Amino acid sequence: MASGDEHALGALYDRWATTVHTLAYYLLGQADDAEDTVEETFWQAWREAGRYDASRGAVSTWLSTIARSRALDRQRARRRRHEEPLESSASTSAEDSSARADSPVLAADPHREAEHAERARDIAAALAKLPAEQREVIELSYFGGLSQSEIAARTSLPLGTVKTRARLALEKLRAPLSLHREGSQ
Amino acid sequence: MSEPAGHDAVRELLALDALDALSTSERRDLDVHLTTCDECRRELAHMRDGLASIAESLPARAMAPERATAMRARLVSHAIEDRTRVTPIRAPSRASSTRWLAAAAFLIAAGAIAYGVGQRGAVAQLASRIAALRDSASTMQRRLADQQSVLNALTGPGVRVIDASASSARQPYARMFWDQPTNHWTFVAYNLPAAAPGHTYQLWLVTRDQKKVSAGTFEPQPNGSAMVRATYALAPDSLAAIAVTNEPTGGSPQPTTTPLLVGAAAKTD
Repeated sequence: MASGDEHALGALYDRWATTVHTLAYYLLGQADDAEDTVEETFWQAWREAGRYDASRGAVSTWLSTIARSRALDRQRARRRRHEEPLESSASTSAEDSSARADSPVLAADPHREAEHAERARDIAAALAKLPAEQREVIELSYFGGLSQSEIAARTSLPLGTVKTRARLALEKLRAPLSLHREGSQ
Repeated sequence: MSEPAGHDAVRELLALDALDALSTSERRDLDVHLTTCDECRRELAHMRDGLASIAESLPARAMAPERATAMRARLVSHAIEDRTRVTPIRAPSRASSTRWLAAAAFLIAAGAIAYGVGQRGAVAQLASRIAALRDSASTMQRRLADQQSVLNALTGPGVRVIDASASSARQPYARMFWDQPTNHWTFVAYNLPAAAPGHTYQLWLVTRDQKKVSAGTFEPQPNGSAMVRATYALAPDSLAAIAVTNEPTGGSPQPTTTPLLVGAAAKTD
């Protein structure tokens, strides 16, 4: 793609659009915003393909990072406009996503579905094993897009404590998460 | 590698960087360190990959197919335009030493720019039209290939058909087309009620040794119809039945409810 091959963009989209859309929808809880985020993500990937560095992470990591950044920009803009509480944008979709579904017809790959279900189960288990205070920091940071200072203010904890909890949580998550990543590349 | 103390101190920042939660000064320190420390670069890549896998592990939520296809076509079309964008024509930069020569150069340059702008506009228009035509042709080809694929999956010589029905009042029914030579599965259903909030339908392939293989989750259209397409290799005589169950959104590893639709597969000779 870095050499300007639009077919590579199409292939990248085919492989990762659902993953990117899933993350965007989870962060934003709103179908139109999520789809706009998907389009922005792949366009940014096309324009910045030359800057992708495989040693800094997998392609899916690069796309997820772009998507999360774009989605959090929208989430923050929405909060600025409406003073919307964090919970209403960051944590709604898992519970009631089907109520706002677009009734998509899925072209399923049973192998990938099975792998996906297994990953989801194990990651949820890994997250569930974290002490509640560490899980809260990860959720506020990854899904809520809050900075460590914002988390400190929100939880009334010293900044150092927030940083320590984030680091400990990620170190605990790293092993099971990386295991799945290696298996899924 | 940098000094051991610096390495240890900076290493503390890796998790925070993966979370994009570093201050400007911390990020600067880390960036400097990463230019010389392979170990920390690898560790950071692992942490980023690990964190990003949370995204892959959320319950999958696909876009509506027609919207996803339209977005793909838009992106590819824009990419073609972007690739073929005309390089702006620049005025000559070499200065002359005399006024008349400067004036002549100016006139020549101005003429060249005017000509170039005109040419550039024409070329850009052509590029845009070509991109639009390519996009249109590409969309048509994709639609045609898709339709051909559906047609092959329904009418091929190796296609087996498995009907599934229910006993409820509204009588949903479904039919599975299994194109055995290509391992393509096409499932169509009608009269399905909308899935309950927080739930979705899940299609299963039940093998003769009672293994239940998920063929995907789906939600019916407002008119109750649905189509699921999948590719999965299964030995010709190993399918015992197909079934559809109601599962929590995102699907389940194994069925958790009584099937709404069941269809037994006849044994082949």
